[in-house]
Amino acid sequence: MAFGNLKFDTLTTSDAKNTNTEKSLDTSYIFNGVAKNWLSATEPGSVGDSFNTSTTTDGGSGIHTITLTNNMASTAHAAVTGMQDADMACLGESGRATTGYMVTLLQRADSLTRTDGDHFSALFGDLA
Amino acid sequence: MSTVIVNTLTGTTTAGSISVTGEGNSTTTNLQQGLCKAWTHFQGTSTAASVDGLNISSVDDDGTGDFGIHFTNNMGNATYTVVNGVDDDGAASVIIGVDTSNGTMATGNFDFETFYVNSSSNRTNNDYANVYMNIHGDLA
Repeated sequence: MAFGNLKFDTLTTSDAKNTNTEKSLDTSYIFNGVAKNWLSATEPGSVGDSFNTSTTTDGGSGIHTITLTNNMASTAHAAVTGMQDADMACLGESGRATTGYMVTLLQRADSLTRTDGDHFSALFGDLA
Repeated sequence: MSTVIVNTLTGTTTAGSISVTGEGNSTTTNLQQGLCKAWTHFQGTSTAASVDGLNISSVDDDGTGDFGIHFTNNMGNATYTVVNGVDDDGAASVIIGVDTSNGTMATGNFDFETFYVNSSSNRTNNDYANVYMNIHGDLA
């Protein structure tokens, strides 16, 4: 049976991959729980793969600004990060916006300094 | 309709693409793209293990602060996204981090390292009891 548009509040499945018992999920967990953006970047300005990313900007050494295709409803979204071969990935407060967010990469030599490198991020929150 | 009882959700136009209306009641987001494809609460101390998780088949312990994750269902490419967190085990005045190991990301697995940096030591690999990882991207 095929539906072009299906409206419902609760989804119940058999959880066949795990316990094979029936489990229900309120649909608020679906639209609240899915990532609204994710990004794999080899360097600032160079995106490997992504979802809901319009453009990215290289803001200088260790600064990468991500602009969304579909904006978030507020700036109270949650961005999480990861990195490859850099000591630390953080969020740049000045880049927090409904239109996107900023990732900064830091590497420690004698002091923490910004550095370019491979990094990952994902964004959770409410779409506009 | 308030409850839908199904075993599998499949898009009608494109099997692997279902739109979900966002919280603002106007914009739609893609369900498959937004779903986390794997996650693990990883234990790096004692015997390395995925204490709880989704789509994790096995783990490797390759040395101090050096581990591997293997997926049950592979990703569609090696450019997926790995985001993470780590418990500091009560340590103070240190930066504790997790990163994927350069050149190891493959569709079926990847390696990662856990480490600390403090005022007297540059990056030093270390085992941590509670490491958290989410994997986003395209399933095969």
